[in-house]
Formats: sequence, C-alpha cells, structure tokens
Amino acid sequence: MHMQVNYSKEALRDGARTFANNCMGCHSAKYYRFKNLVKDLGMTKSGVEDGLMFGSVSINEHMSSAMPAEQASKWFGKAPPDLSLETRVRGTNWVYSYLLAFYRDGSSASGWNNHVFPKVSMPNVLYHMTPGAPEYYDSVAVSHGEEHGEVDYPEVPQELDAKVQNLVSFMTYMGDPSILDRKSMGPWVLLFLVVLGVLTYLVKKEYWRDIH
Amino acid sequence: MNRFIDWVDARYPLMRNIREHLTEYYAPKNFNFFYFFGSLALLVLVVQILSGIWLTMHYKPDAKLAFDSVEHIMRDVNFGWLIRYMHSTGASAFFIVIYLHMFRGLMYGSNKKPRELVWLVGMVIYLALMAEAFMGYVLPWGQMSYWGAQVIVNLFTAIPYVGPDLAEWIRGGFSIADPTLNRFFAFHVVALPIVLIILVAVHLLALHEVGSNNPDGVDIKKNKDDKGIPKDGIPFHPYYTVKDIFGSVVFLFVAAVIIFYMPTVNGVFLEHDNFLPADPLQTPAHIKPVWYFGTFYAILRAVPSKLFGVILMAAAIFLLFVLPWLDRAKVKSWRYRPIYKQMLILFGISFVVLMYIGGQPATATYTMFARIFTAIYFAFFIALPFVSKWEKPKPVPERVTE
Repeated sequence: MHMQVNYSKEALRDGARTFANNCMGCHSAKYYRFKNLVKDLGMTKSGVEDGLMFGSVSINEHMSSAMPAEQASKWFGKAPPDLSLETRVRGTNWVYSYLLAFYRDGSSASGWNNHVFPKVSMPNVLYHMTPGAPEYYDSVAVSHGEEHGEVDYPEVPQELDAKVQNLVSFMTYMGDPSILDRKSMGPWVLLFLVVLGVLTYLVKKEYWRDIH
Repeated sequence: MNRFIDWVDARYPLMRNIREHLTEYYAPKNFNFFYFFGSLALLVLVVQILSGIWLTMHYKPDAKLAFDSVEHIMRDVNFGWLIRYMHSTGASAFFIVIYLHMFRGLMYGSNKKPRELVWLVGMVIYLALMAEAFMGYVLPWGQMSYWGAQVIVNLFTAIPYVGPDLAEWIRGGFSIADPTLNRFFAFHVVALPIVLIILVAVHLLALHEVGSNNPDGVDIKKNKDDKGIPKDGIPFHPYYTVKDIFGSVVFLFVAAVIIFYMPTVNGVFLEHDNFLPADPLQTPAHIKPVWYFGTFYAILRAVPSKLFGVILMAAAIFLLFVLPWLDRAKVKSWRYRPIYKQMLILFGISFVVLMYIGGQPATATYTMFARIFTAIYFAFFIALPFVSKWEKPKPVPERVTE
C-alpha cells in the first residue's frame, strides 16, 4: 500500500494528536520536542500543554512515554521501540501498510496479528479510531499458512485512511523536521543559484570571446 | 596597495606564485566538460572541511552519545540539518567528482609520461579519501556504521599470521566499540584531512611542473609563439577561473537539489539502516557499504575464499596505480586510439555494474554477474600492455582541434 505524505499544517497537527493520544502510551519519540508542535505546526502552547503532554512537565521536553521501558519489556516481551526515526528506517509506506494490516488472531496474546509484521506484540490500537474502523479490521482476511504475501485487503474506509495517512505524515515529518525548512528555503536557494549561474555564464562568455 | 605588495614581494614570492600558478600558467584552450571535475574536487574538499568543522562543534565522539548528538545536530542546532546534509551529500559528491576526474585522466592519457607522478599522487589522494570516507561513515554510530566497520576491519584478519592481532590493534579491542569510534574520529577530523590537503598541494605542484594535458593529448609546448607562450595555451586566470566558477555554480545547484529535496537519495547517500542506533547484539539482515565502495566490495565477494577475495580487491586498486606503465602507447588520447577507447568504455561499464552489485544481496545471480564483471575489470589491465603496444593509432594532429 502506498501513500503520499501530506505536509500541510492541518494534516500534521491531526497526525500529532493521533500520535500523542494513541501511540505515546507505549512509544516515545525521544528526539522530538513538544515545543516544535508550536513552532513548526502552529499549535497553541496551552493546547499542547493541556491536550498532548501527559507525563511531561515542560514544553521543552522530548515526547517520551510514561511507560517504564523495563516493565514494558516484561509486558510485551520487548520494550516498544522509539518512533522518532521509524519512517526513516522502514519507510513511509511500510508504516502505513503496517497500521492497516492488523487482523484478528485468537492465538496471540493481544488477540491481534499483523500481515506486514507477523507475530508483532503490539495490539491494534486503531480499532476504534473511526466509526468505520472496526468493520475494516474485522474483515482483514487471515492469511493462508505461513506465507504472508498474498492478502486481499478490504477497501479502507476513507475516514480511517485519512487518519492513518495524517499520522504517518506526522511521523515522517518527525523523522526529519528539517523537511519544513527545506521546503520553504529550497526554492529561494535554487533561484539564487540559477541567477548566479546566468551571471557567471555571461562573465565566462565575455572573457572567452577572443579565444578561438 | 602596490607599495604593500612590493613590501611583501621583497620577503615572500607572492606575485611569483600567482604568476606561475594562475596568470602565467598556460593551460590548453580546448578543455571540455570533463575538465570541470578537478576544480570541483577542490571545491568539495573545502566544503567538507568547513562543514566538518561546524559538525565537530556539536558532535560527541562517544559510543553512548554519538548517535544522539547527530540527531541533536539535525534538530536542535541552528541550521545543523543544513550543515549535516551538506557534509553527507558532499561525501558522495566527492566520489562522483573524483571518479569522473580519474576517468577523464584515462580517456585522454593524462596519466602517461610525463604526468605519471600526477597520477600516482592522485591515486594516493584517492586511497586517503577512501579511508577518510570510511571512518567518517562510522561516526554517526548507526547500525550500518557499526556493522560496516566490523566487516571492513575484519578483512584484515584474512592476512596470514598477523591478521587477527592487526585487526585487534586497529579496533582497539576485540570488536568495534568506543575506542574504535574515538580513534576513527581522530583520524577523520585531524590526521587524514591534513594528509589530504598536503597531497592535493603536491598533486597541483606536480601538475603545474609538467603542464596540463588536453582532450587531444597533444603537447601544446611544442608550438610556442616568439614570446615563448604556447600557441594553444591560455592563462589559467582569468579564462579557467571564470569558467570553473560557472561550473561550480552548476555543481552547487545539483548539490542543493539533493540537500533540500532528497538528502538521503532514497537510502543511497544516507542508508535507511543507519537511522537505527548501533547495536552489537543485532546484525542487520543485509550489510552493505555505501555506494562508492560497491565496486571493490563486489570484487571481494565474487571470490569464495576470504584471503583471495581480499587479495583480488587489493589488486583491483593496486593495478590502477601502475596504469601509466601498463599502457605502452605513445599516443595519449582515446580520440586517436579506437581499440583502447572501446576497452576503456567496457572497463568503465564493469566498474559501474560492480558498484551496483556491491550494494545488492549476494544471491547466486548477482554473484555470477559479479564474477563476469570482475573478469572484465581485470581483463582490461591484462590486455592493456599488449593492445597498447600493437594498436595502430589514427593520425594525431599537430595542434589541438577545438
């Protein structure tokens, strides 16, 4: 499954809220600071402090989960990984597919399994994400045997798809926040170099006029 | 101003140096596209040193802190991301530029008499650059940094008798760890840059002693006017300075597109797995070097025996050193050597294909192709002494043609 990252502020803010409310219970983003939600995404300071910071005191802190790693590894078998750089390691499309690949599996501890990441210990936290989500996840087919490649996914409800895309867009931005600066500075840098290129070419041409 | 310059000139050969290396250094007037890459290599060296100095201000050479400090640079340091992406893009750009620069030398016979020393010094620069790049890649302390270093340093264990001890001595321990990171930092930031700067100066001095070659491979000093100036020569400054400045701007434009819009180049310039912190207990499924080492890595893996693989890989580099003596033709440029031209193109293709294979998993198919192209790579060096002796060149013009 493929998605296009949406770097609009609305999409990223929506993704940030989904991340803080649904992922940060277990996962940290230890390289990302809450204050960047204000600086980069235009959220209000009080909105972040009241709505998204659960275990942290200062807005300057990193997004860390309140769940102690030691206990988490006892509960899940392995501490939930830090997600700051997850999209940089696995790619945007991997995370997107993974989040939509949960299916019912009575034999696992959480009652869930995943086609993209078989036997993952993470439960399906997106089950109640949107009104259409339960029906979607309930109808993701169990794969046949050990081969996880061939699965026909039902059509993803639009609302759920948008939520997940915004979440993964936020995670992609969080993996390299410089993307926003790069997108806004890039055209000016290139324009400057084009102008400089034209000028230096004219200078070169003028000097070389008498060389045959 | 003139009095000041006179004052300096009485004490230091300022104007003499400027004349000898710029305003009265006569370069052939027919330099083409491939002649940009020498000056571009110099530009990249300067960019790498400057961006490297600023990275060093924020980077922590400590196994516990290194990875975090790189993310700190990317996120918390003002324009840290720009400096880091300049440095990482610059590393790959350095090799692109150097490979084209070296290939140009082979195209036009710039390594042949009387420029053998220019080529040899250039090859030592290339070796130093590979060491510099390898150690620099270890510093972010990601999974590929760690396991790449593990694989490369382990190559030394293939050396009989002293190998294992040598590898331990290089690492500063039984495996890659904090002491390794520290010493690689010292080499990357202090020792090798000094070596590189000195070698580049020697490279340029050796070049200016004999003069630049050109795409026709003819000696412009054979045709001088009554003032003793080569008829096909033009002063490096201003002609080539203004031309190279324009070339630099075009290069910077391409670099800026990468830095601002695709800094990892989809995992080629910065590998995906290197965004995972180094973990000695978890080996990545697929360890591969960065793209610019691919050719030699593919040759190494093409051989089943580790020792012979290392020997073949070393030979692949060593043979480049002796090229000026393997090539026995009097004519320099490939423009007048049709068979040599085809051989060199084939060699270039094998170099690039091996580079690609070096980044792929060692499946049976890839290994088969790696062997075929390794054979082509070495066939070039084996055939060269004979072909260059017997090939009948096309007539070479007296003067440069463009």
